[in-house]
Amino acid sequence: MKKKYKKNGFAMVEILIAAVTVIGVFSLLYNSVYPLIGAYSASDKYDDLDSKYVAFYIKEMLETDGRFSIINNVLLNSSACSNTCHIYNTYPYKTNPDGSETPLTWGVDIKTITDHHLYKNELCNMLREDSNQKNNQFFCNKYITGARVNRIIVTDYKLANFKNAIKNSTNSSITRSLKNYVNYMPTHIHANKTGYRRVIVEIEHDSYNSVGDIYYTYAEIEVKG
Amino acid sequence: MRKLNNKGVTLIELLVSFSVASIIIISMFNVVLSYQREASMETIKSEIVSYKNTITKTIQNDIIKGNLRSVNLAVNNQSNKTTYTMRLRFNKSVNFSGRGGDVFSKDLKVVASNTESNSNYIEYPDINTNGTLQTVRYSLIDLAKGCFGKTNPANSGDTGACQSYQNVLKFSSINTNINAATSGDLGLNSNNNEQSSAEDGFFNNARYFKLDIALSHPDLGGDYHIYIVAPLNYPYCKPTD
Repeated sequence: MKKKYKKNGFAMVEILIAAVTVIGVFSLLYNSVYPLIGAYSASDKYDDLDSKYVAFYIKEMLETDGRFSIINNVLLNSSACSNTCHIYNTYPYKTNPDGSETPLTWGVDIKTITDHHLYKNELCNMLREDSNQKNNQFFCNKYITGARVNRIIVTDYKLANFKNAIKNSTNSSITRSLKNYVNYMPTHIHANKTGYRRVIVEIEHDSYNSVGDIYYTYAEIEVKG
Repeated sequence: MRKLNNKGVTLIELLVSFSVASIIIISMFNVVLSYQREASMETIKSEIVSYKNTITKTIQNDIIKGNLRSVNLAVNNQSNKTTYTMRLRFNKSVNFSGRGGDVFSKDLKVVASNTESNSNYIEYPDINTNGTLQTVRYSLIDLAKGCFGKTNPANSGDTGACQSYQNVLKFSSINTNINAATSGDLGLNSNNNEQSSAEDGFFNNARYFKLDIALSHPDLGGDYHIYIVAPLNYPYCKPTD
Protein backbone atom coordinates (compact mmCIF):
# COMPACT_ATOMS: atom_id res chain seq x y z
CA MET A 1 0.00 0.00 0.00
CA LYS A 2 1.35 3.37 -0.88
CA LYS A 3 2.10 5.46 2.19
CA LYS A 4 0.61 8.88 2.10
CA TYR A 5 2.89 11.61 3.48
CA LYS A 6 1.52 14.60 5.27
CA LYS A 7 2.84 17.63 3.38
CA ASN A 8 1.44 20.37 5.57
CA GLY A 9 4.69 21.41 7.31
CA PHE A 10 4.24 23.84 10.19
CA ALA A 11 1.14 25.87 10.69
CA MET A 12 1.56 29.63 10.90
CA VAL A 13 0.42 29.63 14.52
CA GLU A 14 3.09 27.07 15.41
CA ILE A 15 5.80 29.22 13.85
CA LEU A 16 4.52 32.29 15.63
CA ILE A 17 4.44 30.55 19.01
CA ALA A 18 7.94 29.18 18.50
CA ALA A 19 9.24 32.59 17.37
CA VAL A 20 7.66 34.42 20.30
CA THR A 21 9.09 31.85 22.73
CA VAL A 22 12.60 32.17 21.29
CA ILE A 23 12.41 35.98 21.28
CA GLY A 24 11.19 35.93 24.88
CA VAL A 25 14.06 33.72 26.01
CA PHE A 26 16.63 35.88 24.23
CA SER A 27 15.11 39.05 25.68
CA LEU A 28 15.41 37.62 29.18
CA LEU A 29 19.00 36.63 28.54
CA TYR A 30 19.82 40.05 27.11
CA ASN A 31 18.27 41.82 30.08
CA SER A 32 20.28 39.64 32.43
CA VAL A 33 23.58 40.08 30.63
CA TYR A 34 23.29 43.77 29.68
CA PRO A 35 23.76 45.15 33.24
CA LEU A 36 26.83 42.95 33.61
CA ILE A 37 28.34 44.49 30.49
CA GLY A 38 27.56 47.95 31.89
CA ALA A 39 29.06 47.03 35.25
CA TYR A 40 32.23 45.78 33.56
CA SER A 41 32.54 48.95 31.49
CA ALA A 42 32.00 51.18 34.52
CA SER A 43 34.51 49.20 36.55
CA ASP A 44 36.98 49.30 33.68
CA LYS A 45 36.61 53.03 33.25
CA TYR A 46 36.34 54.33 36.79
CA ASP A 47 37.71 51.76 39.20
CA ASP A 48 41.46 51.32 39.32
CA LEU A 49 44.10 50.04 41.70
CA ASP A 50 45.74 53.43 42.22
CA SER A 51 42.49 54.90 43.49
CA LYS A 52 42.05 51.94 45.79
CA TYR A 53 45.37 52.72 47.45
CA VAL A 54 44.36 56.37 47.88
CA ALA A 55 41.15 55.16 49.52
CA PHE A 56 43.21 52.84 51.70
CA TYR A 57 45.33 55.71 53.06
CA ILE A 58 42.22 57.77 53.75
CA LYS A 59 40.75 54.78 55.56
CA GLU A 60 43.89 54.61 57.69
CA MET A 61 43.46 58.27 58.60
CA LEU A 62 39.82 57.74 59.52
CA GLU A 63 40.58 54.70 61.61
CA THR A 64 43.50 56.46 63.25
CA ASP A 65 41.03 59.11 64.27
CA GLY A 66 39.11 56.53 66.24
CA ARG A 67 36.02 54.47 65.86
CA PHE A 68 32.71 56.25 65.44
CA SER A 69 34.00 59.81 65.65
CA ILE A 70 34.27 60.64 61.97
CA ILE A 71 31.04 58.97 60.94
CA ASN A 72 29.25 60.68 63.80
CA ASN A 73 30.73 63.98 62.73
CA VAL A 74 29.27 63.49 59.28
CA LEU A 75 25.89 62.69 60.76
CA LEU A 76 25.92 65.61 63.17
CA ASN A 77 26.73 67.99 60.34
CA SER A 78 23.90 66.70 58.17
CA SER A 79 20.74 68.65 57.51
CA ALA A 80 18.78 65.93 59.30
CA CYS A 81 20.25 67.08 62.57
CA SER A 82 20.15 70.88 62.45
CA ASN A 83 21.79 71.07 65.86
CA THR A 84 19.30 68.65 67.40
CA CYS A 85 21.58 65.62 67.53
CA HIS A 86 24.02 64.43 70.09
CA ILE A 87 26.25 61.44 70.69
CA TYR A 88 25.35 59.04 73.43
CA ASN A 89 27.44 55.96 74.10
CA THR A 90 29.22 56.42 70.76
CA TYR A 91 25.95 56.42 68.84
CA PRO A 92 24.17 59.47 67.38
CA TYR A 93 20.66 60.34 68.58
CA LYS A 94 18.19 62.90 67.36
CA THR A 95 16.05 64.91 69.74
CA ASN A 96 12.48 65.08 68.49
CA PRO A 97 10.14 68.09 68.99
CA ASP A 98 8.31 66.21 71.76
CA GLY A 99 11.58 65.75 73.61
CA SER A 100 11.93 62.04 72.86
CA GLU A 101 15.15 60.74 71.38
CA THR A 102 15.55 58.36 68.51
CA PRO A 103 18.69 56.87 66.96
CA LEU A 104 19.81 58.56 63.80
CA THR A 105 19.63 56.11 60.93
CA TRP A 106 20.90 56.05 57.39
CA GLY A 107 18.27 56.06 54.71
CA VAL A 108 15.68 57.54 57.07
CA ASP A 109 17.28 60.62 58.60
CA ILE A 110 20.27 60.66 56.28
CA LYS A 111 18.90 60.44 52.81
CA THR A 112 19.96 63.44 50.78
CA ILE A 113 23.17 63.61 48.84
CA THR A 114 24.45 66.65 50.66
CA ASP A 115 24.19 64.70 53.88
CA HIS A 116 26.70 62.18 52.57
CA HIS A 117 28.89 64.57 50.76
CA LEU A 118 32.23 65.96 51.75
CA TYR A 119 34.18 68.09 49.35
CA LYS A 120 37.92 67.81 49.31
CA ASN A 121 39.28 68.72 52.72
CA GLU A 122 36.02 68.85 54.69
CA LEU A 123 36.62 65.36 55.98
CA CYS A 124 40.10 66.22 57.22
CA ASN A 125 38.78 69.18 59.14
CA MET A 126 36.51 66.83 61.08
CA LEU A 127 39.37 64.67 62.29
CA ARG A 128 40.45 65.00 65.86
CA GLU A 129 43.71 66.52 67.00
CA ASP A 130 45.20 65.23 70.21
CA SER A 131 48.20 63.32 71.38
CA ASN A 132 46.85 60.02 70.08
CA GLN A 133 45.92 61.32 66.69
CA LYS A 134 49.21 63.11 66.13
CA ASN A 135 48.37 65.88 63.75
CA ASN A 136 46.11 63.67 61.71
CA GLN A 137 44.10 66.62 60.44
CA PHE A 138 47.07 68.46 58.98
CA PHE A 139 48.41 65.27 57.46
CA CYS A 140 45.04 64.45 55.91
CA ASN A 141 44.77 67.92 54.38
CA LYS A 142 48.16 67.60 52.75
CA TYR A 143 47.52 64.12 51.47
CA ILE A 144 44.09 64.84 50.01
CA THR A 145 45.42 67.91 48.22
CA GLY A 146 48.41 65.96 46.91
CA ALA A 147 46.38 63.02 45.71
CA ARG A 148 43.84 65.38 44.12
CA VAL A 149 40.93 63.87 45.96
CA ASN A 150 37.98 65.86 44.74
CA ARG A 151 35.20 64.37 46.79
CA ILE A 152 34.68 61.94 49.62
CA ILE A 153 31.36 60.33 50.32
CA VAL A 154 30.61 58.62 53.59
CA THR A 155 27.64 56.33 53.55
CA ASP A 156 26.05 53.32 55.10
CA TYR A 157 27.39 49.84 54.50
CA LYS A 158 24.12 48.92 52.79
CA LEU A 159 24.14 50.86 49.57
CA ALA A 160 20.53 50.57 48.39
CA ASN A 161 19.32 53.90 49.82
CA PHE A 162 22.43 55.73 48.72
CA LYS A 163 22.21 54.39 45.19
CA ASN A 164 18.62 55.58 44.94
CA ALA A 165 19.57 58.98 46.28
CA ILE A 166 22.34 59.36 43.70
CA LYS A 167 20.15 58.07 40.90
CA ASN A 168 17.34 60.50 41.65
CA SER A 169 19.53 63.44 42.55
CA THR A 170 19.13 66.65 40.58
CA ASN A 171 22.11 68.19 42.34
CA SER A 172 24.32 69.67 39.62
CA SER A 173 27.48 68.74 41.48
CA ILE A 174 26.78 65.05 40.96
CA THR A 175 28.73 64.30 37.84
CA ARG A 176 27.71 61.79 35.25
CA SER A 177 30.77 59.69 35.99
CA LEU A 178 29.83 59.54 39.69
CA LYS A 179 26.30 58.49 38.81
CA ASN A 180 27.61 55.78 36.50
CA TYR A 181 30.07 54.51 39.07
CA VAL A 182 27.54 54.39 41.90
CA ASN A 183 24.89 52.87 39.68
CA TYR A 184 27.05 49.85 38.99
CA MET A 185 28.45 49.41 42.48
CA PRO A 186 27.71 45.91 43.74
CA THR A 187 25.14 45.75 46.51
CA HIS A 188 26.06 42.44 48.08
CA ILE A 189 26.76 42.61 51.82
CA HIS A 190 28.41 40.40 54.40
CA ALA A 191 26.44 39.64 57.53
CA ASN A 192 29.52 39.98 59.77
CA LYS A 193 30.21 43.57 58.71
CA THR A 194 28.23 45.18 61.51
CA GLY A 195 29.43 48.67 62.33
CA TYR A 196 31.09 49.21 58.96
CA ARG A 197 30.57 52.21 56.71
CA ARG A 198 31.59 52.79 53.14
CA VAL A 199 33.84 55.58 51.99
CA ILE A 200 33.82 56.47 48.30
CA VAL A 201 36.68 58.56 46.99
CA GLU A 202 36.70 60.57 43.76
CA ILE A 203 40.11 61.41 42.33
CA GLU A 204 40.79 63.94 39.64
CA HIS A 205 43.30 63.22 36.87
CA ASP A 206 44.64 65.15 33.92
CA SER A 207 43.82 63.53 30.65
CA TYR A 208 46.50 63.59 28.01
CA ASN A 209 43.98 63.19 25.22
CA SER A 210 43.63 66.94 24.98
CA VAL A 211 45.04 69.82 26.97
CA GLY A 212 42.93 70.85 29.96
CA ASP A 213 40.81 67.71 29.97
CA ILE A 214 40.24 66.03 33.27
CA TYR A 215 38.66 62.75 34.18
CA TYR A 216 37.76 61.01 37.41
CA THR A 217 38.43 57.64 38.93
CA TYR A 218 36.75 56.20 42.00
CA ALA A 219 37.38 53.74 44.75
CA GLU A 220 35.25 52.44 47.55
CA ILE A 221 36.54 51.04 50.80
CA GLU A 222 34.91 49.75 53.96
CA VAL A 223 35.73 51.60 57.15
CA LYS A 224 34.88 50.45 60.62
CA GLY A 225 33.20 53.12 62.67
CA MET B 1 7.35 0.89 -4.72
CA ARG B 2 7.96 4.23 -3.12
CA LYS B 3 8.40 7.02 -5.61
CA LEU B 4 11.05 9.55 -4.68
CA ASN B 5 10.71 13.24 -5.29
CA ASN B 6 13.58 14.01 -7.67
CA LYS B 7 12.65 17.54 -8.45
CA GLY B 8 15.41 19.23 -6.38
CA VAL B 9 15.29 22.99 -6.03
CA THR B 10 14.42 25.46 -8.71
CA LEU B 11 16.82 28.15 -9.87
CA ILE B 12 14.65 30.81 -8.32
CA GLU B 13 14.75 29.05 -4.94
CA LEU B 14 18.51 28.69 -5.21
CA LEU B 15 18.99 32.37 -6.07
CA VAL B 16 16.73 33.49 -3.26
CA SER B 17 18.59 31.26 -0.80
CA PHE B 18 21.98 32.57 -1.92
CA SER B 19 20.79 36.16 -1.73
CA VAL B 20 19.49 35.74 1.80
CA ALA B 21 22.65 33.91 2.87
CA SER B 22 24.87 36.61 1.31
CA ILE B 23 23.02 39.42 3.06
CA ILE B 24 23.33 37.64 6.38
CA ILE B 25 27.05 36.90 5.89
CA ILE B 26 27.87 40.45 4.81
CA SER B 27 26.03 41.96 7.75
CA MET B 28 27.68 39.51 10.13
CA PHE B 29 31.10 40.23 8.63
CA ASN B 30 31.05 43.85 9.80
CA VAL B 31 29.86 42.78 13.22
CA VAL B 32 32.62 40.19 13.51
CA LEU B 33 35.23 42.72 12.36
CA SER B 34 34.12 45.26 14.96
CA TYR B 35 34.20 42.61 17.69
CA GLN B 36 37.63 41.49 16.54
CA ARG B 37 38.89 45.05 16.82
CA GLU B 38 37.25 45.42 20.20
CA ALA B 39 38.88 42.19 21.39
CA SER B 40 42.29 43.47 20.28
CA MET B 41 41.72 46.70 22.14
CA GLU B 42 40.71 44.79 25.25
CA THR B 43 43.92 42.77 25.03
CA ILE B 44 45.97 45.97 24.86
CA LYS B 45 44.00 47.49 27.73
CA SER B 46 44.52 44.45 29.92
CA GLU B 47 48.27 44.51 29.10
CA ILE B 48 48.51 48.14 30.16
CA VAL B 49 46.44 47.62 33.31
CA SER B 50 48.44 44.52 34.20
CA TYR B 51 51.70 46.44 33.68
CA LYS B 52 50.69 49.35 35.89
CA ASN B 53 49.09 47.11 38.52
CA THR B 54 52.19 44.95 38.88
CA ILE B 55 54.40 47.97 39.43
CA THR B 56 51.93 49.73 41.70
CA LYS B 57 51.33 46.68 43.89
CA THR B 58 55.03 45.98 44.31
CA ILE B 59 55.87 49.54 45.32
CA GLN B 60 52.80 50.15 47.47
CA ASN B 61 53.34 46.87 49.28
CA ASP B 62 56.78 48.07 50.36
CA ILE B 63 55.49 51.53 51.26
CA ILE B 64 52.76 50.16 53.52
CA LYS B 65 54.74 47.35 55.15
CA GLY B 66 57.96 49.30 55.47
CA ASN B 67 56.36 52.64 56.36
CA LEU B 68 57.95 54.94 53.81
CA ARG B 69 60.27 57.36 55.55
CA SER B 70 61.70 59.59 52.88
CA VAL B 71 62.34 59.83 49.18
CA ASN B 72 65.30 61.36 47.49
CA LEU B 73 64.91 62.28 43.85
CA ALA B 74 67.72 62.64 41.33
CA VAL B 75 67.00 63.58 37.73
CA ASN B 76 69.59 62.90 35.07
CA ASN B 77 68.91 64.58 31.73
CA GLN B 78 70.80 63.16 28.79
CA SER B 79 70.44 63.89 25.12
CA ASN B 80 68.57 60.69 24.39
CA LYS B 81 66.86 59.95 27.70
CA THR B 82 65.87 61.28 31.11
CA THR B 83 66.39 59.11 34.16
CA TYR B 84 64.48 59.71 37.40
CA THR B 85 66.04 57.85 40.31
CA MET B 86 64.02 57.83 43.50
CA ARG B 87 65.63 56.33 46.58
CA LEU B 88 62.84 55.12 48.82
CA ARG B 89 63.87 54.74 52.46
CA PHE B 90 61.77 52.87 54.95
CA ASN B 91 61.26 53.16 58.70
CA LYS B 92 60.55 49.56 59.50
CA SER B 93 62.97 46.74 59.29
CA VAL B 94 60.93 44.87 56.79
CA ASN B 95 62.51 41.74 55.48
CA PHE B 96 62.40 42.74 51.83
CA SER B 97 65.06 40.34 50.76
CA GLY B 98 63.93 37.33 52.77
CA ARG B 99 67.15 37.37 54.76
CA GLY B 100 66.06 38.95 58.00
CA GLY B 101 66.67 42.24 57.39
CA ASP B 102 68.25 45.39 57.36
CA VAL B 103 67.47 46.42 53.83
CA PHE B 104 66.02 49.86 54.29
CA SER B 105 66.15 51.44 50.92
CA LYS B 106 65.31 50.68 47.36
CA ASP B 107 65.95 52.61 44.18
CA LEU B 108 63.01 53.19 41.92
CA LYS B 109 64.22 54.17 38.49
CA VAL B 110 62.07 55.58 35.71
CA VAL B 111 63.75 55.95 32.32
CA ALA B 112 62.04 57.97 29.62
CA SER B 113 63.63 57.86 26.23
CA ASN B 114 63.54 60.93 24.04
CA THR B 115 63.84 58.94 20.87
CA GLU B 116 62.15 55.57 20.92
CA SER B 117 58.98 54.97 22.81
CA ASN B 118 59.86 51.34 23.43
CA SER B 119 62.99 52.31 25.37
CA ASN B 120 60.91 53.57 28.28
CA TYR B 121 61.09 51.39 31.34
CA ILE B 122 60.85 51.26 35.14
CA GLU B 123 63.27 49.42 37.40
CA TYR B 124 62.53 48.37 40.95
CA PRO B 125 64.02 45.70 43.23
CA ASP B 126 61.73 42.82 44.03
CA ILE B 127 62.09 39.37 45.51
CA ASN B 128 62.71 36.76 42.86
CA THR B 129 61.80 33.08 42.96
CA ASN B 130 64.99 32.27 44.88
CA GLY B 131 63.93 34.62 47.69
CA THR B 132 66.64 37.15 46.98
CA LEU B 133 66.28 40.78 46.08
CA GLN B 134 66.83 41.50 42.44
CA THR B 135 66.23 44.57 40.31
CA VAL B 136 63.41 43.90 37.89
CA ARG B 137 63.01 45.87 34.70
CA TYR B 138 59.41 46.56 33.80
CA SER B 139 59.75 47.35 30.14
CA LEU B 140 57.25 48.63 27.65
CA ILE B 141 58.80 46.51 24.93
CA ASP B 142 56.40 43.83 23.74
CA LEU B 143 53.59 45.62 25.49
CA ALA B 144 50.55 47.05 23.81
CA LYS B 145 51.37 46.43 20.23
CA GLY B 146 48.68 47.80 18.06
CA CYS B 147 47.72 50.84 16.05
CA PHE B 148 44.72 49.95 14.02
CA GLY B 149 44.49 52.04 10.91
CA LYS B 150 45.57 55.24 12.59
CA THR B 151 48.70 57.31 12.27
CA ASN B 152 51.24 56.64 14.91
CA PRO B 153 51.94 59.72 17.02
CA ALA B 154 54.76 57.87 18.73
CA ASN B 155 56.86 58.47 15.62
CA SER B 156 57.21 62.15 14.93
CA GLY B 157 56.52 63.05 11.35
CA ASP B 158 54.60 59.88 10.69
CA THR B 159 51.69 61.08 8.66
CA GLY B 160 51.08 57.97 6.65
CA ALA B 161 49.11 54.89 7.50
CA CYS B 162 50.11 53.23 10.69
CA GLN B 163 52.47 50.35 10.43
CA SER B 164 50.78 47.45 12.07
CA TYR B 165 51.91 45.96 15.33
CA GLN B 166 54.35 48.48 16.63
CA ASN B 167 55.23 49.22 20.19
CA VAL B 168 53.26 52.37 20.60
CA LEU B 169 52.75 52.61 24.34
CA LYS B 170 54.86 55.36 25.87
CA PHE B 171 55.29 57.54 28.93
CA SER B 172 53.61 60.77 27.95
CA SER B 173 54.48 62.56 31.17
CA ILE B 174 56.29 61.88 34.41
CA ASN B 175 55.53 63.96 37.47
CA THR B 176 57.26 63.39 40.75
CA ASN B 177 56.47 65.14 43.98
CA ILE B 178 58.07 64.27 47.27
CA ASN B 179 56.98 67.42 48.97
CA ALA B 180 53.77 68.47 50.60
CA ALA B 181 53.72 72.05 49.47
CA THR B 182 57.03 73.86 49.21
CA SER B 183 60.65 72.86 49.36
CA GLY B 184 60.80 74.20 52.89
CA ASP B 185 58.20 71.67 53.91
CA LEU B 186 60.44 68.77 53.17
CA GLY B 187 62.82 69.44 56.06
CA LEU B 188 65.69 67.50 54.58
CA ASN B 189 68.81 66.78 56.49
CA SER B 190 71.64 68.37 54.58
CA ASN B 191 73.97 65.45 55.17
CA ASN B 192 72.06 62.58 53.75
CA ASN B 193 69.16 64.19 51.98
CA GLU B 194 66.61 62.57 54.18
CA GLN B 195 64.58 63.64 57.09
CA SER B 196 66.48 63.76 60.35
CA SER B 197 63.65 62.52 62.53
CA ALA B 198 60.53 60.66 61.53
CA GLU B 199 58.59 61.98 64.49
CA ASP B 200 59.60 65.58 63.96
CA GLY B 201 58.87 65.23 60.31
CA PHE B 202 55.41 64.00 60.97
CA PHE B 203 54.54 66.78 63.37
CA ASN B 204 56.11 69.60 61.46
CA ASN B 205 56.37 68.58 57.86
CA ALA B 206 53.57 66.24 56.99
CA ARG B 207 54.08 65.26 53.41
CA TYR B 208 53.62 62.67 50.78
CA PHE B 209 55.37 61.00 47.91
CA LYS B 210 53.74 61.24 44.53
CA LEU B 211 54.66 59.58 41.28
CA ASP B 212 52.35 60.11 38.34
CA ILE B 213 53.34 58.54 35.04
CA ALA B 214 50.84 58.93 32.21
CA LEU B 215 50.83 56.09 29.72
CA SER B 216 49.57 56.90 26.28
CA HIS B 217 48.56 54.77 23.37
CA PRO B 218 47.28 56.16 20.06
CA ASP B 219 44.22 53.96 20.06
CA LEU B 220 43.43 54.17 23.75
CA GLY B 221 44.32 57.75 24.57
CA GLY B 222 46.15 59.00 27.62
CA ASP B 223 43.86 58.05 30.46
CA TYR B 224 46.10 55.37 31.94
CA HIS B 225 48.37 56.37 34.77
CA ILE B 226 50.76 54.81 37.20
CA TYR B 227 49.56 56.92 40.09
CA ILE B 228 51.24 56.38 43.43
CA VAL B 229 50.48 58.86 46.17
CA ALA B 230 51.65 57.67 49.56
CA PRO B 231 52.17 59.35 52.91
CA LEU B 232 55.66 59.71 54.34
CA ASN B 233 56.16 58.75 57.97
CA TYR B 234 52.53 58.06 58.64
CA PRO B 235 52.37 56.65 62.18
CA TYR B 236 49.33 54.40 61.75
CA CYS B 237 48.54 54.91 65.42
CA LYS B 238 45.14 53.31 65.76
CA PRO B 239 43.61 53.72 69.18
CA THR B 240 42.77 50.47 70.92
CA ASP B 241 39.20 49.31 70.45
